[in-house]
Amino acid sequence: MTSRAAEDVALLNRYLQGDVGAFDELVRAHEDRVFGICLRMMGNRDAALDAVQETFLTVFRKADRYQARAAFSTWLYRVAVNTCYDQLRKAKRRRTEPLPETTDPADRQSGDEFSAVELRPEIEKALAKVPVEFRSAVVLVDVQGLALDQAAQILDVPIGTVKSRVFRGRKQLAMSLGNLRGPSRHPRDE
Amino acid sequence: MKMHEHDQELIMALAEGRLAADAAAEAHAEIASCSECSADLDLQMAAIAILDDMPEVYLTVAESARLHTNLKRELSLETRPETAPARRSFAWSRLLPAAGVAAALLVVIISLPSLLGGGSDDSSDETIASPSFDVGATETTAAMEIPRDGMEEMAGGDNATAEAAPPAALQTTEAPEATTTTMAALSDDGSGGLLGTLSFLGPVDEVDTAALLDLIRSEDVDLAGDSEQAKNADPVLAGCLAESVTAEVAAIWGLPVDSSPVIMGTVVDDLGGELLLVAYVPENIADTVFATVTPGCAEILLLP
Repeated sequence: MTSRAAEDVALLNRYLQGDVGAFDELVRAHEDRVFGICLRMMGNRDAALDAVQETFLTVFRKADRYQARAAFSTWLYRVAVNTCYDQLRKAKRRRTEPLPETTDPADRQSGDEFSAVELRPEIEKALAKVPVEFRSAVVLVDVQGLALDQAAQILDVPIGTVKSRVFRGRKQLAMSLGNLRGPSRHPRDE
Repeated sequence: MKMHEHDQELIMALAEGRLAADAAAEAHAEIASCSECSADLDLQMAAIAILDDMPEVYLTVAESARLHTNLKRELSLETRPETAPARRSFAWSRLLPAAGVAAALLVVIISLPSLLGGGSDDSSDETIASPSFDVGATETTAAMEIPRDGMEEMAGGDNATAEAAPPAALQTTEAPEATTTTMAALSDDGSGGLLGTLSFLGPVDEVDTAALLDLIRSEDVDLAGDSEQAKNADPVLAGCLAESVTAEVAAIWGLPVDSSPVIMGTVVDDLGGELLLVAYVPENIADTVFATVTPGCAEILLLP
Protein backbone atom coordinates (compact mmCIF):
# COMPACT_ATOMS: atom_id res chain seq x y z
CA MET A 1 0.00 0.00 0.00
CA THR A 2 1.40 3.39 -0.93
CA SER A 3 1.79 6.06 1.70
CA ARG A 4 -1.01 8.03 0.10
CA ALA A 5 -3.28 5.01 0.14
CA ALA A 6 -2.40 4.28 3.74
CA GLU A 7 -3.02 7.86 4.69
CA ASP A 8 -6.38 7.77 2.96
CA VAL A 9 -7.40 4.73 4.93
CA ALA A 10 -6.23 6.34 8.15
CA LEU A 11 -8.18 9.48 7.39
CA LEU A 12 -11.24 7.50 6.54
CA ASN A 13 -11.00 5.56 9.78
CA ARG A 14 -10.61 8.78 11.70
CA TYR A 15 -13.65 10.14 9.99
CA LEU A 16 -15.62 7.01 10.77
CA GLN A 17 -14.71 7.51 14.40
CA GLY A 18 -16.38 10.87 14.27
CA ASP A 19 -13.61 13.16 13.11
CA VAL A 20 -15.32 15.14 10.39
CA GLY A 21 -12.14 17.12 9.91
CA ALA A 22 -10.49 13.98 8.61
CA PHE A 23 -12.99 13.81 5.82
CA ASP A 24 -12.19 17.42 5.06
CA GLU A 25 -8.53 16.46 4.72
CA LEU A 26 -9.49 13.59 2.52
CA VAL A 27 -11.47 15.89 0.27
CA ARG A 28 -8.61 18.31 0.08
CA ALA A 29 -6.19 15.58 -0.88
CA HIS A 30 -8.30 14.37 -3.78
CA GLU A 31 -10.45 17.25 -4.89
CA ASP A 32 -8.26 18.38 -7.76
CA ARG A 33 -7.88 14.90 -9.20
CA VAL A 34 -11.60 14.30 -8.93
CA PHE A 35 -12.25 17.66 -10.49
CA GLY A 36 -9.91 16.79 -13.35
CA ILE A 37 -11.85 13.64 -14.06
CA CYS A 38 -15.19 15.37 -13.79
CA LEU A 39 -14.18 18.33 -15.92
CA ARG A 40 -12.96 16.13 -18.74
CA MET A 41 -16.02 13.96 -18.45
CA MET A 42 -18.56 16.75 -18.24
CA GLY A 43 -16.81 19.28 -20.46
CA ASN A 44 -18.22 22.09 -18.41
CA ARG A 45 -16.79 23.61 -15.29
CA ASP A 46 -20.05 24.18 -13.46
CA ALA A 47 -21.28 20.69 -14.22
CA ALA A 48 -17.93 19.33 -13.13
CA LEU A 49 -18.13 21.19 -9.84
CA ASP A 50 -21.56 19.75 -9.22
CA ALA A 51 -20.24 16.30 -9.97
CA VAL A 52 -17.30 16.77 -7.62
CA GLN A 53 -19.58 17.78 -4.80
CA GLU A 54 -21.95 14.90 -5.44
CA THR A 55 -19.03 12.52 -5.58
CA PHE A 56 -17.74 13.48 -2.18
CA LEU A 57 -21.19 13.47 -0.68
CA THR A 58 -21.74 9.97 -2.00
CA VAL A 59 -18.42 8.89 -0.55
CA PHE A 60 -19.37 10.38 2.77
CA ARG A 61 -22.69 8.68 2.81
CA LYS A 62 -21.17 5.34 2.14
CA ALA A 63 -17.89 5.76 3.94
CA ASP A 64 -18.76 3.21 6.57
CA ARG A 65 -19.04 0.55 3.90
CA TYR A 66 -15.58 1.00 2.47
CA GLN A 67 -13.50 -2.02 3.32
CA ALA A 68 -10.18 -1.19 1.70
CA ARG A 69 -10.18 -4.08 -0.73
CA ALA A 70 -9.39 -1.48 -3.31
CA ALA A 71 -7.55 1.76 -2.80
CA PHE A 72 -9.69 4.58 -1.53
CA SER A 73 -8.74 6.57 -4.61
CA THR A 74 -10.01 3.80 -6.86
CA TRP A 75 -13.31 3.82 -5.06
CA LEU A 76 -13.44 7.59 -5.15
CA TYR A 77 -12.70 7.78 -8.86
CA ARG A 78 -15.30 5.20 -9.56
CA VAL A 79 -17.87 7.19 -7.67
CA ALA A 80 -16.77 10.23 -9.66
CA VAL A 81 -17.10 8.47 -13.00
CA ASN A 82 -20.48 7.04 -12.04
CA THR A 83 -21.65 10.43 -10.88
CA CYS A 84 -20.64 11.90 -14.21
CA TYR A 85 -22.43 9.10 -16.03
CA ASP A 86 -25.55 9.82 -14.04
CA GLN A 87 -25.42 13.53 -14.62
CA LEU A 88 -24.71 13.19 -18.31
CA ARG A 89 -27.54 10.74 -18.63
CA LYS A 90 -29.93 13.00 -16.79
CA ALA A 91 -28.85 15.97 -18.82
CA LYS A 92 -29.44 14.04 -21.98
CA ARG A 93 -32.88 13.01 -20.84
CA ARG A 94 -33.82 16.49 -19.88
CA ARG A 95 -32.82 17.63 -23.31
CA THR A 96 -31.09 20.56 -21.83
CA GLU A 97 -28.93 22.97 -23.66
CA PRO A 98 -26.00 21.44 -25.45
CA LEU A 99 -22.64 21.62 -23.81
CA PRO A 100 -21.15 25.01 -24.23
CA GLU A 101 -18.60 25.36 -26.92
CA THR A 102 -16.29 27.20 -24.66
CA THR A 103 -15.60 26.74 -21.03
CA ASP A 104 -16.68 29.02 -18.33
CA PRO A 105 -14.35 31.82 -17.56
CA ALA A 106 -11.80 30.86 -15.01
CA ASP A 107 -11.67 32.40 -11.62
CA ARG A 108 -9.49 35.41 -12.11
CA GLN A 109 -9.19 36.01 -8.44
CA SER A 110 -7.43 32.83 -7.63
CA GLY A 111 -4.04 34.03 -8.69
CA ASP A 112 -3.19 30.53 -9.77
CA GLU A 113 -2.25 30.38 -13.39
CA PHE A 114 -3.24 26.75 -13.64
CA SER A 115 -6.70 27.53 -12.42
CA ALA A 116 -7.17 29.74 -15.42
CA VAL A 117 -6.26 26.98 -17.81
CA GLU A 118 -9.19 25.13 -19.23
CA LEU A 119 -9.37 22.65 -21.95
CA ARG A 120 -8.86 24.14 -25.31
CA PRO A 121 -12.35 24.62 -26.71
CA GLU A 122 -11.80 22.49 -29.77
CA ILE A 123 -10.42 19.67 -27.68
CA GLU A 124 -13.23 19.95 -25.20
CA LYS A 125 -15.73 19.84 -28.00
CA ALA A 126 -14.04 16.83 -29.52
CA LEU A 127 -13.92 15.04 -26.18
CA ALA A 128 -17.60 15.69 -25.66
CA LYS A 129 -18.31 13.90 -28.93
CA VAL A 130 -16.53 10.78 -27.81
CA PRO A 131 -19.05 8.27 -26.40
CA VAL A 132 -19.02 8.42 -22.65
CA GLU A 133 -17.68 4.91 -22.11
CA PHE A 134 -14.72 5.63 -24.35
CA ARG A 135 -14.28 9.08 -22.94
CA SER A 136 -14.04 7.82 -19.38
CA ALA A 137 -11.36 5.34 -20.38
CA VAL A 138 -9.38 7.98 -22.23
CA VAL A 139 -9.70 10.44 -19.37
CA LEU A 140 -8.55 7.94 -16.77
CA VAL A 141 -5.71 6.43 -18.76
CA ASP A 142 -4.46 9.19 -21.00
CA VAL A 143 -5.36 12.31 -19.09
CA GLN A 144 -5.14 11.16 -15.50
CA GLY A 145 -2.38 8.70 -16.25
CA LEU A 146 -3.88 5.83 -14.33
CA ALA A 147 -2.70 2.31 -14.95
CA LEU A 148 -4.90 0.10 -17.04
CA ASP A 149 -5.67 -2.20 -14.15
CA GLN A 150 -6.79 0.66 -11.95
CA ALA A 151 -8.89 2.06 -14.76
CA ALA A 152 -10.39 -1.38 -15.18
CA GLN A 153 -11.32 -1.46 -11.50
CA ILE A 154 -12.79 2.00 -11.64
CA LEU A 155 -14.80 1.27 -14.74
CA ASP A 156 -15.63 -2.23 -13.59
CA VAL A 157 -14.64 -3.82 -16.86
CA PRO A 158 -11.82 -6.14 -17.88
CA ILE A 159 -8.48 -4.63 -18.78
CA GLY A 160 -8.97 -5.68 -22.39
CA THR A 161 -12.13 -3.65 -22.49
CA VAL A 162 -10.31 -0.64 -21.14
CA LYS A 163 -7.68 -0.99 -23.84
CA SER A 164 -10.31 -1.25 -26.50
CA ARG A 165 -12.17 1.77 -25.18
CA VAL A 166 -9.00 3.80 -24.99
CA PHE A 167 -8.11 2.82 -28.53
CA ARG A 168 -11.50 3.72 -29.87
CA GLY A 169 -11.77 6.85 -27.76
CA ARG A 170 -8.45 8.16 -28.96
CA LYS A 171 -9.38 7.36 -32.51
CA GLN A 172 -12.65 9.22 -32.29
CA LEU A 173 -11.03 12.13 -30.55
CA ALA A 174 -8.38 12.49 -33.20
CA MET A 175 -10.93 12.12 -35.96
CA SER A 176 -13.16 14.74 -34.36
CA LEU A 177 -10.27 17.12 -34.24
CA GLY A 178 -9.60 16.49 -37.86
CA ASN A 179 -6.26 15.18 -36.87
CA LEU A 180 -5.54 18.66 -35.69
CA ARG A 181 -1.88 18.28 -35.20
CA GLY A 182 -1.29 15.58 -37.68
CA PRO A 183 0.43 12.42 -36.65
CA SER A 184 2.97 12.79 -33.91
CA ARG A 185 6.49 12.89 -34.97
CA HIS A 186 7.41 10.05 -32.70
CA PRO A 187 5.63 7.59 -30.54
CA ARG A 188 5.61 8.50 -26.92
CA ASP A 189 8.84 7.80 -25.12
CA GLU A 190 10.66 6.81 -28.21
CA MET B 1 -9.50 -3.21 -45.90
CA LYS B 2 -9.95 -5.87 -43.30
CA MET B 3 -8.62 -4.98 -39.90
CA HIS B 4 -6.28 -7.50 -38.37
CA GLU B 5 -7.44 -8.59 -34.98
CA HIS B 6 -4.07 -8.19 -33.36
CA ASP B 7 -3.39 -4.79 -34.74
CA GLN B 8 -5.14 -2.79 -32.07
CA GLU B 9 -2.85 -4.04 -29.35
CA LEU B 10 0.20 -3.61 -31.49
CA ILE B 11 -0.80 -0.17 -32.65
CA MET B 12 -1.38 0.96 -29.09
CA ALA B 13 1.94 -0.41 -27.93
CA LEU B 14 3.70 1.31 -30.78
CA ALA B 15 1.88 4.59 -30.35
CA GLU B 16 2.55 4.62 -26.64
CA GLY B 17 6.20 3.85 -27.16
CA ARG B 18 6.06 0.65 -25.19
CA LEU B 19 8.05 -1.37 -27.67
CA ALA B 20 11.79 -1.75 -27.76
CA ALA B 21 13.52 -0.35 -30.80
CA ASP B 22 13.77 -3.57 -32.75
CA ALA B 23 10.22 -4.59 -31.88
CA ALA B 24 9.04 -1.14 -32.82
CA ALA B 25 10.74 -1.35 -36.18
CA GLU B 26 9.14 -4.70 -36.79
CA ALA B 27 5.77 -3.37 -35.78
CA HIS B 28 6.16 -0.36 -38.03
CA ALA B 29 6.85 -2.65 -40.93
CA GLU B 30 3.84 -4.80 -40.19
CA ILE B 31 1.52 -1.89 -39.72
CA ALA B 32 2.80 -0.19 -42.84
CA SER B 33 1.49 -3.10 -44.84
CA CYS B 34 -2.06 -2.23 -43.86
CA SER B 35 -3.38 1.20 -44.73
CA GLU B 36 -6.12 1.04 -42.14
CA CYS B 37 -3.62 0.10 -39.47
CA SER B 38 -1.37 2.94 -40.54
CA ALA B 39 -4.23 5.38 -40.30
CA ASP B 40 -5.11 4.06 -36.86
CA LEU B 41 -1.54 4.46 -35.73
CA ASP B 42 -1.57 8.06 -36.89
CA LEU B 43 -4.80 8.74 -35.07
CA GLN B 44 -3.56 7.09 -31.90
CA MET B 45 -0.37 9.08 -31.95
CA ALA B 46 -2.20 12.31 -32.68
CA ALA B 47 -4.60 11.74 -29.84
CA ILE B 48 -1.85 10.83 -27.42
CA ALA B 49 0.06 13.96 -28.32
CA ILE B 50 -3.01 16.09 -27.80
CA LEU B 51 -3.91 14.45 -24.52
CA ASP B 52 -0.34 14.63 -23.31
CA ASP B 53 -0.43 18.36 -23.80
CA MET B 54 -3.59 18.88 -21.85
CA PRO B 55 -2.93 20.98 -18.81
CA GLU B 56 -3.61 19.88 -15.30
CA VAL B 57 -6.79 21.40 -14.01
CA TYR B 58 -7.39 22.55 -10.51
CA LEU B 59 -10.19 23.93 -8.49
CA THR B 60 -9.74 27.60 -7.91
CA VAL B 61 -9.35 28.80 -4.39
CA ALA B 62 -12.89 30.06 -4.43
CA GLU B 63 -14.25 26.85 -5.87
CA SER B 64 -12.41 24.77 -3.34
CA ALA B 65 -13.69 26.89 -0.51
CA ARG B 66 -17.21 26.65 -1.84
CA LEU B 67 -16.93 22.90 -2.17
CA HIS B 68 -15.81 22.52 1.41
CA THR B 69 -18.49 24.85 2.65
CA ASN B 70 -21.17 22.97 0.77
CA LEU B 71 -19.91 19.63 1.95
CA LYS B 72 -19.79 20.74 5.54
CA ARG B 73 -23.26 22.11 5.29
CA GLU B 74 -24.51 18.85 3.86
CA LEU B 75 -22.61 16.80 6.38
CA SER B 76 -24.06 18.66 9.24
CA LEU B 77 -27.50 17.69 8.03
CA GLU B 78 -26.72 14.05 7.78
CA THR B 79 -26.19 11.24 10.16
CA ARG B 80 -22.70 10.96 11.46
CA PRO B 81 -20.98 7.59 11.16
CA GLU B 82 -20.98 7.08 14.89
CA THR B 83 -24.74 7.29 14.88
CA ALA B 84 -25.12 5.22 11.77
CA PRO B 85 -27.59 2.40 11.77
CA ALA B 86 -26.61 -0.95 13.10
CA ARG B 87 -25.47 -3.40 10.51
CA ARG B 88 -25.86 -7.05 9.96
CA SER B 89 -25.03 -9.23 7.05
CA PHE B 90 -26.58 -11.62 4.67
CA ALA B 91 -25.31 -13.73 1.81
CA TRP B 92 -27.38 -13.27 -1.27
CA SER B 93 -25.55 -16.09 -2.96
CA ARG B 94 -27.38 -18.48 -0.69
CA LEU B 95 -30.62 -17.43 -2.23
CA LEU B 96 -29.89 -17.91 -5.86
CA PRO B 97 -30.35 -21.68 -6.15
CA ALA B 98 -33.89 -21.45 -4.91
CA ALA B 99 -35.10 -19.13 -7.59
CA GLY B 100 -36.63 -21.64 -9.91
CA VAL B 101 -38.43 -23.58 -7.23
CA ALA B 102 -39.87 -20.56 -5.59
CA ALA B 103 -41.30 -18.86 -8.60
CA ALA B 104 -44.53 -20.73 -8.22
CA LEU B 105 -45.00 -19.47 -4.72
CA LEU B 106 -45.51 -15.95 -5.73
CA VAL B 107 -48.85 -14.41 -6.11
CA VAL B 108 -47.94 -10.82 -6.55
CA ILE B 109 -44.73 -9.65 -8.02
CA ILE B 110 -44.34 -6.12 -9.04
CA SER B 111 -41.31 -5.08 -10.96
CA LEU B 112 -40.52 -1.47 -11.34
CA PRO B 113 -39.96 -1.65 -15.06
CA SER B 114 -43.52 -2.76 -15.54
CA LEU B 115 -44.84 -0.49 -12.87
CA LEU B 116 -43.08 2.65 -13.82
CA GLY B 117 -42.54 2.09 -17.46
CA GLY B 118 -46.06 3.03 -18.33
CA GLY B 119 -47.22 -0.51 -18.83
CA SER B 120 -50.77 -1.58 -18.35
CA ASP B 121 -50.01 -3.88 -15.45
CA ASP B 122 -52.45 -2.89 -12.77
CA SER B 123 -51.04 -5.11 -10.09
CA SER B 124 -49.66 -2.03 -8.43
CA ASP B 125 -53.12 -0.84 -7.60
CA GLU B 126 -53.88 -4.24 -6.27
CA THR B 127 -50.85 -4.11 -4.07
CA ILE B 128 -51.45 -0.67 -2.75
CA ALA B 129 -54.94 -1.61 -1.81
CA SER B 130 -53.85 -4.80 -0.15
CA PRO B 131 -54.84 -5.13 3.47
CA SER B 132 -51.36 -6.43 4.09
CA PHE B 133 -50.10 -2.90 3.79
CA ASP B 134 -52.33 -1.10 6.12
CA VAL B 135 -50.00 -0.39 8.98
CA GLY B 136 -48.48 2.95 9.54
CA ALA B 137 -44.97 4.01 10.11
CA THR B 138 -42.43 3.50 7.46
CA GLU B 139 -39.15 4.81 6.38
CA THR B 140 -37.42 4.13 3.23
CA THR B 141 -33.87 3.87 2.34
CA ALA B 142 -32.31 2.82 -0.81
CA ALA B 143 -28.99 2.04 -2.05
CA MET B 144 -26.42 -0.33 -2.74
CA GLU B 145 -23.49 -1.55 -4.51
CA ILE B 146 -22.28 -4.35 -6.51
CA PRO B 147 -18.76 -5.16 -5.57
CA ARG B 148 -16.51 -6.60 -8.20
CA ASP B 149 -12.96 -7.61 -8.41
CA GLY B 150 -12.52 -7.34 -4.72
CA MET B 151 -14.04 -3.93 -4.50
CA GLU B 152 -16.53 -3.90 -1.75
CA GLU B 153 -18.40 -0.76 -2.35
CA MET B 154 -18.55 1.01 -5.60
CA ALA B 155 -21.22 3.44 -6.08
CA GLY B 156 -22.44 6.70 -7.28
CA GLY B 157 -25.21 8.73 -8.48
CA ASP B 158 -28.85 8.27 -8.26
CA ASN B 159 -29.07 6.13 -5.19
CA ALA B 160 -27.37 8.54 -2.98
CA THR B 161 -30.14 11.02 -3.28
CA ALA B 162 -32.73 8.57 -2.18
CA GLU B 163 -30.53 7.32 0.58
CA ALA B 164 -29.81 10.68 1.98
CA ALA B 165 -33.18 12.24 2.02
CA PRO B 166 -36.32 10.23 2.01
CA PRO B 167 -39.26 12.41 1.18
CA ALA B 168 -41.29 13.66 4.04
CA ALA B 169 -44.16 11.41 3.20
CA LEU B 170 -41.94 8.43 3.75
CA GLN B 171 -40.51 9.52 7.00
CA THR B 172 -41.95 8.30 10.18
CA THR B 173 -42.47 10.07 13.38
CA GLU B 174 -42.91 6.86 15.20
CA ALA B 175 -40.76 4.24 13.61
CA PRO B 176 -41.11 0.88 15.21
CA GLU B 177 -37.82 -0.68 15.96
CA ALA B 178 -36.31 -2.48 13.03
CA THR B 179 -39.25 -2.14 10.75
CA THR B 180 -37.04 -0.84 8.04
CA THR B 181 -34.03 -2.63 6.84
CA THR B 182 -31.75 -2.09 3.97
CA MET B 183 -30.06 -5.21 2.91
CA ALA B 184 -26.98 -4.68 0.92
CA ALA B 185 -25.91 -7.73 -0.95
CA LEU B 186 -22.23 -7.61 -0.73
CA SER B 187 -21.03 -11.11 -1.12
CA ASP B 188 -19.56 -12.47 -4.24
CA ASP B 189 -21.16 -15.57 -5.57
CA GLY B 190 -17.86 -17.00 -6.66
CA SER B 191 -18.35 -16.34 -10.31
CA GLY B 192 -17.01 -12.86 -10.16
CA GLY B 193 -20.29 -11.12 -10.12
CA LEU B 194 -22.47 -10.06 -7.48
CA LEU B 195 -25.58 -9.49 -6.57
CA GLY B 196 -27.17 -6.43 -5.43
CA THR B 197 -29.16 -4.86 -2.80
CA LEU B 198 -32.49 -5.30 -1.34
CA SER B 199 -34.15 -2.69 0.71
CA PHE B 200 -36.74 -4.11 2.97
CA LEU B 201 -39.36 -1.86 4.26
CA GLY B 202 -41.62 -2.66 7.06
CA PRO B 203 -45.33 -2.30 6.83
CA VAL B 204 -46.41 0.37 4.46
CA ASP B 205 -49.68 1.99 3.74
CA GLU B 206 -51.05 3.40 0.55
CA VAL B 207 -49.61 6.83 1.06
CA ASP B 208 -46.19 5.48 1.72
CA THR B 209 -46.30 3.24 -1.29
CA ALA B 210 -47.28 6.10 -3.53
CA ALA B 211 -44.62 8.32 -2.04
CA LEU B 212 -41.97 5.75 -2.58
CA LEU B 213 -42.96 5.38 -6.18
CA ASP B 214 -42.78 9.13 -6.55
CA LEU B 215 -39.34 9.07 -5.07
CA ILE B 216 -38.15 6.46 -7.48
CA ARG B 217 -39.75 8.26 -10.38
CA SER B 218 -38.06 11.45 -9.31
CA GLU B 219 -34.74 9.77 -9.72
CA ASP B 220 -35.33 9.91 -13.42
CA VAL B 221 -34.02 6.47 -14.10
CA ASP B 222 -34.80 4.65 -17.25
CA LEU B 223 -35.82 1.61 -15.35
CA ALA B 224 -36.65 -0.71 -18.14
CA GLY B 225 -33.66 0.31 -20.14
CA ASP B 226 -31.32 -0.05 -17.24
CA SER B 227 -32.67 -3.42 -16.38
CA GLU B 228 -32.28 -4.69 -19.87
CA GLN B 229 -28.83 -3.26 -20.16
CA ALA B 230 -27.78 -4.84 -16.93
CA LYS B 231 -29.23 -8.17 -17.91
CA ASN B 232 -27.35 -8.10 -21.12
CA ALA B 233 -24.17 -7.02 -19.47
CA ASP B 234 -24.08 -9.48 -16.67
CA PRO B 235 -25.95 -12.73 -16.36
CA VAL B 236 -25.28 -12.83 -12.64
CA LEU B 237 -26.83 -9.45 -12.28
CA ALA B 238 -29.82 -10.63 -14.19
CA GLY B 239 -30.43 -13.08 -11.39
CA CYS B 240 -30.86 -10.20 -9.03
CA LEU B 241 -33.69 -8.51 -10.74
CA ALA B 242 -36.94 -8.16 -9.01
CA GLU B 243 -38.78 -11.24 -10.04
CA SER B 244 -36.09 -13.72 -9.27
CA VAL B 245 -35.09 -12.12 -6.03
CA THR B 246 -38.68 -12.10 -4.98
CA ALA B 247 -38.88 -15.76 -5.75
CA GLU B 248 -35.70 -16.51 -3.88
CA VAL B 249 -36.79 -14.65 -0.83
CA ALA B 250 -40.14 -16.34 -0.81
CA ALA B 251 -38.55 -19.74 -1.08
CA ILE B 252 -36.03 -19.20 1.64
CA TRP B 253 -38.57 -17.85 4.02
CA GLY B 254 -41.07 -20.53 3.21
CA LEU B 255 -43.81 -18.04 2.96
CA PRO B 256 -47.29 -19.15 2.14
CA VAL B 257 -48.70 -17.97 -1.13
CA ASP B 258 -51.08 -15.52 0.43
CA SER B 259 -48.42 -13.75 2.41
CA SER B 260 -45.59 -13.55 -0.05
CA PRO B 261 -43.68 -10.35 0.24
CA VAL B 262 -44.16 -7.98 -2.56
CA ILE B 263 -40.86 -6.88 -3.87
CA MET B 264 -40.25 -4.09 -6.22
CA GLY B 265 -36.92 -3.71 -7.79
CA THR B 266 -34.83 -2.46 -10.52
CA VAL B 267 -31.31 -1.77 -11.56
CA VAL B 268 -30.58 1.79 -10.73
CA ASP B 269 -27.17 2.33 -12.14
CA ASP B 270 -26.35 0.11 -15.03
CA LEU B 271 -23.09 1.75 -15.87
CA GLY B 272 -21.71 1.41 -12.40
CA GLY B 273 -23.18 -1.97 -11.86
CA GLU B 274 -25.30 -0.78 -9.05
CA LEU B 275 -28.54 -2.43 -8.23
CA LEU B 276 -31.40 -1.19 -6.21
CA LEU B 277 -34.23 -3.37 -5.18
CA VAL B 278 -36.98 -2.29 -2.91
CA ALA B 279 -39.06 -4.76 -1.01
CA TYR B 280 -42.31 -4.25 0.74
CA VAL B 281 -42.71 -6.72 3.52
CA PRO B 282 -46.09 -7.09 5.13
CA GLU B 283 -46.02 -6.59 8.82
CA ASN B 284 -47.11 -10.09 9.59
CA ILE B 285 -43.97 -11.50 8.08
CA ALA B 286 -41.56 -8.76 9.03
CA ASP B 287 -40.32 -10.64 12.06
CA THR B 288 -39.75 -13.69 9.93
CA VAL B 289 -37.81 -11.68 7.45
CA PHE B 290 -35.57 -10.15 10.04
CA ALA B 291 -35.11 -13.42 11.87
CA THR B 292 -34.11 -15.19 8.69
CA VAL B 293 -31.30 -12.87 7.94
CA THR B 294 -28.06 -14.43 8.97
CA PRO B 295 -25.66 -12.11 10.71
CA GLY B 296 -22.19 -11.95 9.28
CA CYS B 297 -22.99 -12.59 5.65
CA ALA B 298 -23.97 -9.26 4.21
CA GLU B 299 -24.84 -5.85 5.32
CA ILE B 300 -28.08 -4.69 6.75
CA LEU B 301 -28.90 -1.31 8.04
CA LEU B 302 -31.50 -1.11 10.70
CA LEU B 303 -32.70 2.39 10.68
CA PRO B 304 -33.77 3.97 13.92
